[in-house]
Amino acid sequence: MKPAIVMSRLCLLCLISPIGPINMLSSASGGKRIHRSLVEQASRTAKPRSNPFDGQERHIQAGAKLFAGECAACHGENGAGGLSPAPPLRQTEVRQAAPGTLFWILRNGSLPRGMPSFAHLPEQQRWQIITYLKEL
Amino acid sequence: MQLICNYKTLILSIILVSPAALAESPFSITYTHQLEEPGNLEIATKSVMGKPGDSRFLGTALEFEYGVKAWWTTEVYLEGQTTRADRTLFTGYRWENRFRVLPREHWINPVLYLEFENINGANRSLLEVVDNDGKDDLLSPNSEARAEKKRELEAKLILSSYVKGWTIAENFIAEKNVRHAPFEFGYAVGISRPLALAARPQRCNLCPENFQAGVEMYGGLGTHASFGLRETSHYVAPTVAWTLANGTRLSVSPGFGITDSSARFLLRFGVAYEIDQFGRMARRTFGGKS
Repeated sequence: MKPAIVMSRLCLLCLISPIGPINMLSSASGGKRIHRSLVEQASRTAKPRSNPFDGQERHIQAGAKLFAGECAACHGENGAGGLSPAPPLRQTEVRQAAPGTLFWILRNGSLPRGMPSFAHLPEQQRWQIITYLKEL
Repeated sequence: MQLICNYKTLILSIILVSPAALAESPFSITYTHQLEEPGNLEIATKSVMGKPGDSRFLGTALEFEYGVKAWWTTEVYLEGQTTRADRTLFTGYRWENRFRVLPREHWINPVLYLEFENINGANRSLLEVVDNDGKDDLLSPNSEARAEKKRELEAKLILSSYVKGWTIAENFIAEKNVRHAPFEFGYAVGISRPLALAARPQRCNLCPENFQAGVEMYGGLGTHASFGLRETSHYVAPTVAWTLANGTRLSVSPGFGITDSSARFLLRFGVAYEIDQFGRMARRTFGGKS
């Protein structure tokens, strides 16, 4: 068997592995519904945490800069919605969400729903993004 | 006419994309569990310069990395090299896929890596070191080396963690030529940290959070018949990456061989640029569903 065929079959195997069907679920769902359920899901799992930068102007601006680089491509400029099915973030639900819930979402993402983890950002930068989200 | 307008829109969108991620790892060889964001395309060059004998070489890989899903990233590399007083040639391609295994973030995070490579013996990209790969492999003239065909399957277990701003990654590599040769093994480990953990409010090129510094170590571990460190090459490489405000990432990593089999010095450098939501822009341009 040709190596390229072997490789293709290995990739196909990964597609039908346990994470494959989860992916199909995500594409079948609407963006807004996904967002609501993600915040709800996270609020059940996340630990209560307080945002060390809450309301601080300097960190709101830093958060806006980070948001433009990390989030705006999917969630739109200023969180108003973008090209992808990712939900807009300028919503009461986001403003009212507990900081720990938003932190949980940024840390873990939701791979089946297409939201990557942002754990590669230092914790401080994740809090800066949350500080900005609260001001949207 | 409509298609020309669409092309213009696509190109303009690419030029106007927002800045890319700040916290990409600075490693040249070691992978972390961070995958490409879905729909994003990263175009990068990874080059390595060395002088194992009398003639200096420059190996370059042009990389296209695409986030298919949040848990699946695929990459294609086109590779070539030029050797002083010898020729410049295309040395092959490789196609790799990375799959995130666990849906949530844990203290250690596994990613499975599968790759097919079709390169020849003159390849100097040195994207991994396995078995007894060493300086002797870099000495053959291109005309001889290119005759050797390497069609190989490679698997990696990527483990990595983020701890208080530090990125710690370990890769275990197994490679097999599909026609002959035994299983060959190698490893790569790395640790890095941004110079600042919190971002500054202003958009700037020289903000400390735009710099990532670290060190990585990589080398061969023999074959399944002769597993171990004997006659293998190993490198220690400090590494720095700098992300400009427009999202372009520059990286440089001088690597120092620490065994007799290793090349004494390898200088790696690269440039990367990420195009946000390339997949959707392309689908929209060509009239598909976005």
